[in-house]
Amino acid sequence: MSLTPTKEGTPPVARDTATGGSASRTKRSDSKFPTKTPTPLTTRQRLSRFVDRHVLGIYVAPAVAFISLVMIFPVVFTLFLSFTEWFGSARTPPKFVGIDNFVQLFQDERFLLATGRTILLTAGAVTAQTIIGVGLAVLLHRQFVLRGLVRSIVLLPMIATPVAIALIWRLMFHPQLGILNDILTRIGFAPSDWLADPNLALLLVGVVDTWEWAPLIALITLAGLAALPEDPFEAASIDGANGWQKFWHVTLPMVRPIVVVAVVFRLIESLKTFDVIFVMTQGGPGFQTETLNIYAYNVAFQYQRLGYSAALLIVFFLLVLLISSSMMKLRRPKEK
Amino acid sequence: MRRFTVRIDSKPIAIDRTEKRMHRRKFTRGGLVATAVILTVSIFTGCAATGDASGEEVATGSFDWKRFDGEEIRFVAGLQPWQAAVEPLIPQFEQKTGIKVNMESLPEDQFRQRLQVELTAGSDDIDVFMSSVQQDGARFAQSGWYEDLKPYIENKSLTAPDYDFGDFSESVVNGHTFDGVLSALPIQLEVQMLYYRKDLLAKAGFDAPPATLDELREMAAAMTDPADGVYGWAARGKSAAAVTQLTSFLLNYGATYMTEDGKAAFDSKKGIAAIEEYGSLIRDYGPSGNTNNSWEELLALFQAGSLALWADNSGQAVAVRDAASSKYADQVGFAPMPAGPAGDAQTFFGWAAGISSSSAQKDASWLFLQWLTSPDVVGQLQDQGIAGGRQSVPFGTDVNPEFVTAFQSALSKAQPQLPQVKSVPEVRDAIGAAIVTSIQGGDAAAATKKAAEAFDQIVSTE
Repeated sequence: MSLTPTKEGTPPVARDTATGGSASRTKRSDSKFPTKTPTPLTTRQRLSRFVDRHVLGIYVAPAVAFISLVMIFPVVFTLFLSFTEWFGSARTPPKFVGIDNFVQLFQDERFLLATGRTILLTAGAVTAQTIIGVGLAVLLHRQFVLRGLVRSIVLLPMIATPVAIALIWRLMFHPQLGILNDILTRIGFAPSDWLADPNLALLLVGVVDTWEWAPLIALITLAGLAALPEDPFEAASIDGANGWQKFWHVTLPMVRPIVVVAVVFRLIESLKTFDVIFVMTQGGPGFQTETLNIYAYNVAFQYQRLGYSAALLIVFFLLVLLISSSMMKLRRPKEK
Repeated sequence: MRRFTVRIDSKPIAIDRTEKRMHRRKFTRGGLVATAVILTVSIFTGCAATGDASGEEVATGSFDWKRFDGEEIRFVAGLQPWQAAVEPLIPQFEQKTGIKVNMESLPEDQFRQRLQVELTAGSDDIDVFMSSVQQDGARFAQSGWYEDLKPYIENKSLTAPDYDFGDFSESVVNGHTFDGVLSALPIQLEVQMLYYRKDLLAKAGFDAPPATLDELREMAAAMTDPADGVYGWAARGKSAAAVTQLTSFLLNYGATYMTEDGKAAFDSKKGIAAIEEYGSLIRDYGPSGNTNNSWEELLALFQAGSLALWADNSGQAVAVRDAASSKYADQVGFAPMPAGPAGDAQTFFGWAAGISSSSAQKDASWLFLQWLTSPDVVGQLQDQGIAGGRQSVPFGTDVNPEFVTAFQSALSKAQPQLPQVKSVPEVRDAIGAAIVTSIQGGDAAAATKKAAEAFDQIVSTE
């Protein structure tokens, strides 16, 4: 193992090297154990010895305590709540109901439709974002006049506050007061109901999400492009590859790992989209744009059914985990 | 050989370490158990501590406003026209009683969340709070968050002789009573009301607002002119928000939300007809995009002059007559909701105030709540056009007389706008879905049946 002799005092406790460590090292550390000196120790010595022996534990303790408090406890508590029925009143403590909540979830039409919508919205929006984002990155990677300025402008939607963006889009989509219908009617088209149109609402949410987040994929991809070596491109040129071939067979395979990371980021975020939907439609018209996150919010904070909403979130969490971990597999290039 | 010794030697250490690890693990598990125990205990002790608070001594002797001189109570309210008007009056109460009132006002959403968190925790910090009884009342009552006000009102030592409780109408008092517990008293009442544009009505040749739904349809048709940007009719189309506005239609078609024993009843033939009528009026004569319209959007459209007739709660009355935000302000008229084929029912929605069952100063809190709902304070508020729950207290002379007539005639026969179940928000969403389908021109009957099934399912699991 990599431990150096100077650290010899600490490793036996701190690391699991006892069985795996090299024979010589273990032997040396043994010889240092103070069994041969039975003289009483001062408090200070004891303390410092204690610290020496548990140094890793002591360094790690605050972080562990913090994580347990803000992450593990809520997760465990959510898991506990998901098996109960609770309205959040201290006078009527959670009532244990076993797996009732989960059984009910899979018979709940609103939940199933919301799951479908969440997957549809995520798949659509992230695909569009990836294509537009990578396209933008390749464009912005070239040298041209005012490149810095154009880059900043393209990245603007991502930097603005999501709630503010959603409010502005809602205003623009407004059937009577919005600018989009004004433009449509001026150029001779029939006005649209936009977000109030049940067939259009989810699509428009996806469009706004894409508009907002394609720049993120562009930004990350751009960083990946900048780090690419020149040689493969020269080699491709010498072999007579044209621009498209260079892009498809050289650029894309090389930036792929970076793009996949960006896509996973977006995927997780997109599954959880809340602000844009909540501000633009609040899940409406009817339930046409109600995704899992919006439904969970309604169940917990409008209906006060904390147990049911905890069960919903557990299922949602597993869904996010499944999708993002299977995406990460794509990051590794195919082995041949 | 060498390897062998090493293994022997290393073993004790390994065991030592595993033991330590086990020890540590046990400790963590112990920690978790301890945390859980502490949590549970605190939940139960919180329960016990608040549970027996009602065992305090009952006040005796003659009524005296100064009885609790020097006490301090906390009042939590949402930002509302009522709250804005009452805040400057509170020093009158403090002078009268010597009780210090700490008032806290938050925007409605934050207010509701804050209230829920504090009441959930069983904290005795809150003494008096504002509450929307139709929306939250049953759930709050089930959670035991309201103190029963009846004993206080009946106690002559705690209630002033001139309080006149009988002035609250019986239907209003019933609307605030859950399982025999009078949970709160009304502070701000709204009725559903018809706002109309006199100039547009006159232009179309009508001299009075519609008195029946048939007349309403006729007038709406005559005034609708999308090319000119004018729509004859509007009411909320956004699912859950629309439910309070649908109620008068249901009642006037002879239907109700539920039967006496709590089963959905709005999917009757009459109920479906009412939901179809509500939807088709909006679809035919309302502004496009109406399924996303709640009162905020419709108020903006009305102020912009796009709506000829608009039904919504009377809280909008001040805004539609506000010349600063609308150039049609002086053309706005007020009328009660038109009658339907089966009657002329009106509906109300209200804000109330109650005393927290966890409060440590319930008697002083009652003096404050009593003062808030007293003829004197309600009178001062009605002078400003803010309607309290008292029948005999007149509006101020500055308040628009048409509004006063419409309001009073509606209130005299008003019924609650929401079904009295515990899961009101959830039930609203279910009924709202049927309204949206009806507005969109879908199969309203099927959607209503589905909503009724959802209603029964929700209510059965309460």
